[in-house]
Amino acid sequence: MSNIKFTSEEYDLLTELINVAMGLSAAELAKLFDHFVNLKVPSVNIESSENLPETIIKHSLFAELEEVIVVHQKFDNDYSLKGEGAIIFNQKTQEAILPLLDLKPDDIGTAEFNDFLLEFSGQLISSCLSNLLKQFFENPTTFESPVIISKEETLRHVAYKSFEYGYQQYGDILYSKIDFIIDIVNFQCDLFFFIDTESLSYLQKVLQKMLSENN
Amino acid sequence: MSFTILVVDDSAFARKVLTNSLKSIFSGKDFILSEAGDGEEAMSIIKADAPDFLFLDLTMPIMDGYQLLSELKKLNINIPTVVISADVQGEAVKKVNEYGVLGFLSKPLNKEEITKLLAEVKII
Repeated sequence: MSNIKFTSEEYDLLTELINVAMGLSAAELAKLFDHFVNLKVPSVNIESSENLPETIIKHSLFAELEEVIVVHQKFDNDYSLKGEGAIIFNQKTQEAILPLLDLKPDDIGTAEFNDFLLEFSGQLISSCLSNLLKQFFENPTTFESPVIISKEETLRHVAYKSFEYGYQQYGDILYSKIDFIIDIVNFQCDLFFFIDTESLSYLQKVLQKMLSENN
Repeated sequence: MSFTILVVDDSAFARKVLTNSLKSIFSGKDFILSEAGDGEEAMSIIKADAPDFLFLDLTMPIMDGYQLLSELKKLNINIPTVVISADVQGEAVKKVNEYGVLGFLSKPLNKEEITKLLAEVKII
């Protein structure tokens, strides 16, 4: 169980700020692919990091035994708020990306395509998080290079392999999940991001300040 | 003459920001503000109270803004509507314009932009 509790007003405000960030990033994605991106209300919650693998399995768009690709990226806003983002997508989405870019499988090699996936996923994570954090902070957010942490492994496997041990250091974490879906081409991906306990207290203070300014 | 404005948004914070701005913009006028957290709740209020203006978010649970606009069209209910949304894709603007909305305001909202749009559509 988490020791840090957000009030319903704090959750509501944070969800709205994530909604704004998601909308801006969806517009960039729509421009890149020239297709409308369906958006749903993002989810936000605080949980103990030990529940993270099951949280990811429960909230992902993909089935727990489906093979997924996961790209991961760390971020830091001037040491006041730090965390990690992860993009999860499946084989169908991976296959949908090439025609969206007017490319055929023969046009691009595996290494080149992996580079593209990294670049694309990193841009989506950093765009969304930058659009979120600039609503709180004047300092720009810095991002480490994105890394593919899983390919051709089931969601359940990767959730425990990559999100169990590494996150124990975090204690309570805030996670948020955003879905980007382009219906007509089978493109869908989850964007999860996680903020650690120390940053969580700081974030709560920022939210409280924003709420008091609007009362 | 009194008029009613219905603000539909799943975020209580977004509703607060908008209603505070509307109270300031329409200061001194006789008007009633009501609020709904999703399209379904909005539809009940619309049927019961027939508001004069609608401020409508798009991304909401249960019944989203597109679904509400579609339902209103089916029922032949015409309410001057301003869409307020974080979904700033060109296609989103195009889709809601097909329903004949008065205008589109992108989030985060600010009072100057709300005032400008309301003046453009001659509501103030």
